[in-house]
Amino acid sequence: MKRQFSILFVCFVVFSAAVSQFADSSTEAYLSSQDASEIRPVILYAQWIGKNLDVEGANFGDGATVFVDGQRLKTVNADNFPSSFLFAKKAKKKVARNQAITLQVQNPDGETSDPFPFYSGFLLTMDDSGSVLHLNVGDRFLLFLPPHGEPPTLGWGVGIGGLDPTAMKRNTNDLPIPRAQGFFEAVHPGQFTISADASPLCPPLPPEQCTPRGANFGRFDLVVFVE
Amino acid sequence: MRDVVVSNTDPNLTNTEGFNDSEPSIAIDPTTPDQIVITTFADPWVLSPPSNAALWYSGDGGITWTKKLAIPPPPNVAEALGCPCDQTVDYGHGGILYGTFLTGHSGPPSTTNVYSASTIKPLKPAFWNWLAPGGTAQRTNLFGFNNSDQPWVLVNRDPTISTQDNVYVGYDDFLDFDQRVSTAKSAANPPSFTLDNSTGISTCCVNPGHRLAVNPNNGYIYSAFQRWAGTGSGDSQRIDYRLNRSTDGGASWIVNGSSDGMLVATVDSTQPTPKFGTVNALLGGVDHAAVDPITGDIYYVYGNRDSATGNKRLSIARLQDNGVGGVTLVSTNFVTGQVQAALPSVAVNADGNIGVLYDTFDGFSGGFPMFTAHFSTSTDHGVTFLDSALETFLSSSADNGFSGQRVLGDYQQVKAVGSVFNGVFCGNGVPFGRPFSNMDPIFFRVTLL
Repeated sequence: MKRQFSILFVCFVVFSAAVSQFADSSTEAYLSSQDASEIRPVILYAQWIGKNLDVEGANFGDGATVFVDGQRLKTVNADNFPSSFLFAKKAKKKVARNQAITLQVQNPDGETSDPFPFYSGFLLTMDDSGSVLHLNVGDRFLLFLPPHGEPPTLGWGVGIGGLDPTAMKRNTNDLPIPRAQGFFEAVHPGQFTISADASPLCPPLPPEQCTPRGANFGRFDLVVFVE
Repeated sequence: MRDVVVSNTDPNLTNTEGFNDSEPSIAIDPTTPDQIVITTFADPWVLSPPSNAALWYSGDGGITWTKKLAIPPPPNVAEALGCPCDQTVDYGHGGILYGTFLTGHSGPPSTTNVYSASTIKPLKPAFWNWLAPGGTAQRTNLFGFNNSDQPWVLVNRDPTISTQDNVYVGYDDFLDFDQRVSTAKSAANPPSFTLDNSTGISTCCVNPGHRLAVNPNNGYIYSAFQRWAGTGSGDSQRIDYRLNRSTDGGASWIVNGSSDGMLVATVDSTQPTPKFGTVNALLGGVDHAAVDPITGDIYYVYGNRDSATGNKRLSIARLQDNGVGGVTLVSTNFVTGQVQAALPSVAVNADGNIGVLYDTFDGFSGGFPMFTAHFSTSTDHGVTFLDSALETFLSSSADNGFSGQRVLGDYQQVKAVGSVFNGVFCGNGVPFGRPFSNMDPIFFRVTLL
């Protein structure tokens, strides 16, 4: 159990940080139409890590604050990448469970990000990649992989496999996070895998970004046992 | 043959390793051949809190393996987070392991670059060295800034100073649309890349599939790559397979009077899509080359759609130094029979025998694509091949409807040390005892009798 947590945490930080790379560059598009004196924070991705909320984006000022449904959360900037990462510790305790929520970031100068739809239920994100999950019949989770912008600049192909892919049911309707990959519900005992590959999307990216490159721009792997 | 997850010093890893360990690379220490390192798409770099990328290590010739988060990130390179995004490894002399790693993301704008490191103790993070003047790792790609791809490292003796190793990293340059080889003369630990030259232009529509091959006897190095030449028959593309050569340690690249390389073959090949076996886009080309250490002959394996059957077979070209500064194509033959094949890797052992690692797509079982990893050997200079099936396995995933899906990766590798072939491919771990379907690095060692 301890090991599993460790893996999750490591992966979380990996992708948290990875998204920060996108932040500085991809937000150019977001900001191009704005007055230079009004640099707004932008949320690109978010993850629950235990009870803590990790918010990733760009232009987060020192002392920026995360809001959930208008409720201010105690927030700290990340040490290494303060303008790209915010952490709201024990945030989950202050949020109603299993419902669609909205995140916003407000800088000390009052500039506020656009609302970012999120979910307070059982949510799997990039930090879960590479792990092995044990579920009971009836359990369900939402999978949310980073879109890298609105509209998304990264597309995810999701494959279901494993020894018994019928052990789960996928539902892509009425998602609390519109860009999420779907709800996955364990319907009978068995084992399945979820694998996803990311590729740049053209448009909105320029065509040259979609040349047949071999770089691994993102990958998610999960093994699930339904007991 | 071993599943490195199952035959592991951590007996619980078989129950916990959930990464799709695709696109494997292998390095064998030439002075201690039982010391082997494999890299795959396992745990990536984390900078905060610091966590290293994974490697697989065996000190007993591949019988048992250890997974270790041993490769530290290149210093002060934010784009390394979440990567390696491609990686290959190779040993030099003196027990020095070299690794080259792609970092970055797709954009906008793209920021993919290459960084390289070395170590004499692969399992010890503190022994990995990056050249980092001023505290920031130095890029290996001196060109193609933010637009590099598919780094491929090989170590070879210097053409002039036989006791000196040079480190060569081939990569794709999507900024200038060519293939380049960056060279660290005098393979230090860490390597310092000071030469970076083009080996030929690239075109649209297919990945250049840039691969290197070395002649250990004279220090020559070869650059194999492919170029789109038009639309092919059926679902294929017309491909020019090309070869260039440096005889002066990477300072210049020219063969048969052309700095753009020579044409080895123009044939049809199905790539990058439709996906191989419906689950693996071929975004690393379908080509590889190796040099016979005895004769210096070059063997170049490439995808070749059989015009009569439409099957995606593999061919091998034999090329020879013509003695007057050029290279001549001697012969071409099929490696495979009437199969659907991809992901070739070729090596030539110290006896002049050729080994070709590749995968075939064998149809479907239970809705999942079925593959076989093969190792075909030739003792007659590539005229005929004897095939051995290494593992027949199911893909862990079915077609996800996404053109970029890659269950197996862009490449796999076989290398020869002395008379022994050592290789690694991406196979399913279930036949080796894994309790769930997962793509693992499968190591194999072959000695021809």
